[in-house]
Amino acid sequence: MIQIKDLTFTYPGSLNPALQIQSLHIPPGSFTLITGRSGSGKSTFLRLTNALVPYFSGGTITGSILVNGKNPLLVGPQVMSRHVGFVFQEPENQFVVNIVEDEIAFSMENAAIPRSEMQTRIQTILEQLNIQHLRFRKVDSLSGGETQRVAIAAALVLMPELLVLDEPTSQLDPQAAQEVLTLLDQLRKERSITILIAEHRLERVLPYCDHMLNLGAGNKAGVYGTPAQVIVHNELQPPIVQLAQHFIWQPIPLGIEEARPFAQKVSRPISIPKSYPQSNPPPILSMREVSITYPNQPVLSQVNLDLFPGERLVIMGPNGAGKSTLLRGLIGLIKPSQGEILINGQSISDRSSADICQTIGFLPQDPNALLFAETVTQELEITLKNHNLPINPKAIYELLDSLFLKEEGSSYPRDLSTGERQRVALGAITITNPPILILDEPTRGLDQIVKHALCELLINWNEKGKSILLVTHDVEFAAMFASRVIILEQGKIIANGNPGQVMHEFSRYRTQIANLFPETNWLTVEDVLINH
Amino acid sequence: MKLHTWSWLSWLIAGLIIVSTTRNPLYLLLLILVLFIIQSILAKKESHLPISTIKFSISVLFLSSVLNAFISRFGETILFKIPGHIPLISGSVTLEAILFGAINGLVLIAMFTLFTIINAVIPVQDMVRLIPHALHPIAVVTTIALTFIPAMQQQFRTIQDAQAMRGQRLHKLSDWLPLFIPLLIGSLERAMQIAEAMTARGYSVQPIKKQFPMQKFILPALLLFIISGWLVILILNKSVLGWLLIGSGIALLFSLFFTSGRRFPKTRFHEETWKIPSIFFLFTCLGITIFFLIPFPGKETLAYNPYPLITTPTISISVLLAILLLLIPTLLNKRETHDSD
Amino acid sequence: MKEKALNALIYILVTFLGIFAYLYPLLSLGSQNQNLSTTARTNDLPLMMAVLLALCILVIIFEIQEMRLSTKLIALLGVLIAMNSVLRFIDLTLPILGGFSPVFFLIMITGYVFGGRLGFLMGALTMLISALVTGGVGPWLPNQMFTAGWVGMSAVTIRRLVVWTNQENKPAEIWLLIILGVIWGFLYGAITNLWFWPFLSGPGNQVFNPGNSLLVSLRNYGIYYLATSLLWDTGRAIGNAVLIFFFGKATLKVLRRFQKRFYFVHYDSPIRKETI
Repeated sequence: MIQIKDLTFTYPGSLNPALQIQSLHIPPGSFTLITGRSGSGKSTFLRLTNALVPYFSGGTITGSILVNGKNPLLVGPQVMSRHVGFVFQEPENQFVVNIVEDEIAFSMENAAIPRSEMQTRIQTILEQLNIQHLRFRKVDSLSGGETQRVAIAAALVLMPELLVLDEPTSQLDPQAAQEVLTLLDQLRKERSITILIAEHRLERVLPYCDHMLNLGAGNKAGVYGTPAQVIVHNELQPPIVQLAQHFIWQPIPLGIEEARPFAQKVSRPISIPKSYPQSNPPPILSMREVSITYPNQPVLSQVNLDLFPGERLVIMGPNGAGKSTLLRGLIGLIKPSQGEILINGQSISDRSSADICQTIGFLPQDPNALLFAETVTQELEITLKNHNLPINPKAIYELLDSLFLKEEGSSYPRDLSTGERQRVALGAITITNPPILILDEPTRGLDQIVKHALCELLINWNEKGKSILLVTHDVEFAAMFASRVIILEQGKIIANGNPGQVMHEFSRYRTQIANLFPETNWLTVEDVLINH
Repeated sequence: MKLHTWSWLSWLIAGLIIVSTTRNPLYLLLLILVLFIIQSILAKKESHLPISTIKFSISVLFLSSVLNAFISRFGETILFKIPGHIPLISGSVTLEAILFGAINGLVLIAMFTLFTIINAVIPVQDMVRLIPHALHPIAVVTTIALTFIPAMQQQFRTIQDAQAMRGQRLHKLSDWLPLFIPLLIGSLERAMQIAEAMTARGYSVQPIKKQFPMQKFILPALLLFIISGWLVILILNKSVLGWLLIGSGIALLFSLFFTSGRRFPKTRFHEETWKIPSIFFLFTCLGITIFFLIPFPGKETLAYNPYPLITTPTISISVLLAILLLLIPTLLNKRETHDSD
Repeated sequence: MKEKALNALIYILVTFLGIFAYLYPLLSLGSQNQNLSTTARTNDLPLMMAVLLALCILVIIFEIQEMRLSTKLIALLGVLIAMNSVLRFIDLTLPILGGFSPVFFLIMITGYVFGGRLGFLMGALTMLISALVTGGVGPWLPNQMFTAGWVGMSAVTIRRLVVWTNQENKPAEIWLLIILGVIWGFLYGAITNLWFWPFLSGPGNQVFNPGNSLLVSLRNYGIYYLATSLLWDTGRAIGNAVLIFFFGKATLKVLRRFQKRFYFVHYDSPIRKETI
């Protein structure tokens, strides 16, 4: 399906090539997972297949590439659009038309397909993806999983031989992510298409793929092969693979089912539950019987929640469970219709959000919404000015240092990488040194390495006295980080307690290790290794 | 039932033809009455309440009457005189001038109401589809903008919250900068993403066929035609020749659109279907339009002028009936609600 | 060169047609030959003006589209227009002065940074989309589109001036834009209100004024303008100036950062390099 020889690509204005591949052959009908750190050229590689690189991006290219027998460099993106279906990261940002069926029809209009055929094709693709009910919906009313399906339908409607997806599950909750991957697997079998997928969450995709490409590994030339061959080259591996390497399981299992026979042999000593502070000091932040209602429906009903000093509390739950509303309530952006919210025992009902945020640092989902200054340092100074606090260059320098940003003090924040931008935003909200920190989905779009660094940074701050409340879909991250877990579903807290217990009890929130050792309270690789 | 967009457009044209051919206040009043009836039946509950239309109408009527009374000092029925020599203010105020102004007001109200109805009955998407194929890129710009307005509002609220989280308060105008700049940067980044997605989905503005060399000269040529036609009508007062010139200019434009539209090989997914009520409606409106353009007995009653001395306007039954025919959409609409019961 | 001359010709003709369309309600052209019976037809003046201006807009848009639009610029325009429409509805929590509207700010800045043609499209299409969203489509729309298009297009004169006097990224740049904003604050009102003029004082009146001339029409229009719009337009002029003063510099910076990315055209033939 894809053949590459001696390919080098350099972006305009850049000195170092963004991508170098000596030789690569991806067979038709395969399901290839592409991994590599941010900046290793994953996006560039995907965009080569449909000629967005270099036709859209610019840049210089040498070497040859053939996709389904066509040379994208020669024929350009318009021709390639019939052979390559492309699903971008954040597809909701890329809809051109606002009704689902029109959006799916857009590429067919460009390909000048007769109207009668468009009708049948749309009907077929909607049935195949099981989204007939979405046909006349507005695109901005779709949930994350629905959006992803519509984007896949739009990409497949020209019947391409190759389907390319750029981080298709990074915005989804675990269940929706699972559904999308199952759908892809089914599509591959039914339509015999080739699938290329770039994803940071390896543990999700590994069970489905039959080939893997690690860009950036093997002296930056990339390593291609079966997942078991390639996975050992990855800097960070899914928990099962880590275990497999530790216990020398062969062949390396990629999914739960394959790992089960090996796991049987691992002894399970009666382990002591992770320590959980029993003698509770008074909570630093709490919700008492809080209900929040939007005009059409109640979102939170009678929620009681406490954050104790020095805690690392993680709230999990499916999309639409009311997590964002809960956070917005905590910082006074929405007034509860019932109940009250207390900081250090004091009600916040008469305080403004800006005032509350001197006590609570809040990191929104999209750090870009915060950043507008010319330099990173200015970004921190603006927060101080907003609060009428004195500017202390030393404090700013120290904060940037702890955020690994001391080199970037005078950079333009928007030019930084996703992880760096997030840390700038984190700096902007913590320069006032608030005792409480709230983070909304902080792992979105981060690669494994950056994610681990973030986890370490937060644990470090926590040990220095900050109480942290964090909302995430990412069960592996939650398992690494949490000292206590709360599960919120349909506006109610349905579980609250020790991560080892809670995340075992509810199968949707099990980590790979929890799934592998259901009868223990282990969540992470460390939990297993400590007992051996 | 939804009537065809082009049926509604023909209705609009019929209405505009009536408005532009008569200055008889009685006809205009009847037309406005007809339009108000249609509006109150068709308009959705939440918007375009006839109350606001009536308020608007009264103020327009008042403004145009008063203004004309001061601008125009003609007419024989002098109501009162403002003494002195103050420019623009002093002078006699006549009944004729007030009536003339009121007729102006009626014309404006009728035209405004016509378009209010059209805005209410034709969905925005259908209006965008009226953009000719030759201007496909413009249609895409419009579609993108309409798709992104709700997303942009959402984005704005997100930014507003995020800035409030770092203690930002809105006191002065410059406090809006932290909201405006992230919104702008986010929008520009999004524009890149959309453009990329469009390219990946086969969108291209590069036409498949090249423009043929003559095409470049068509634009200035057609403009010349239109301008000269216009001048001929207005200065030489030869309307046949003038309209011929303007007509050929417009024909050139359409032929240019047709040929260049074919250079973009694209199809459209949406096509409205013609159903019998829509066809019936279309032909009635065409009939009305033609009726008002050709000479017919009683046509002289269309003209009315209050100067120099006010007279009673005369009316003709055929014109009244023609105006009443504009009510057809409400009948079609009514029957439909019965069907669906 | 021939191409340039041809484009210049198109613009000159369109401008002529546009000015003509705007001014002829004020001229007493032809009225000498009219008698009482033809005055019935004076109602069609504003409609004809709308049709003429619509033609002008079609011609210019067509020309720009053939010349300049790439997929990136289409997306850019779509998004900027959406943003302008949103800004229009945001409750500014500020005392709103008369005709103050935030839309002109981005129209002028877009014309200034991305050139007159894109400025024209930005202005004209902003008005079109606002009308579509608010249900304001009507015969006054071509007039608004055309005038707003001019707002965007005229910003390029400031650009020329700034480049010529080497004032880029200096305070003078902002001051020149402020002047432009103030001028358009008034001019926009004066031009768009022309549309209503024949309704309020049709040339039917002029038949009875033997000495009627452009001067008298202008005087009458002056009264009308003073009575209906001056205060209103002052609000718009002040608003434009204030917005450019506070937001101009930062916005220019952002747009300039992006300018290169949007103007990049590929066709640096990758194939040739491949064969090397």
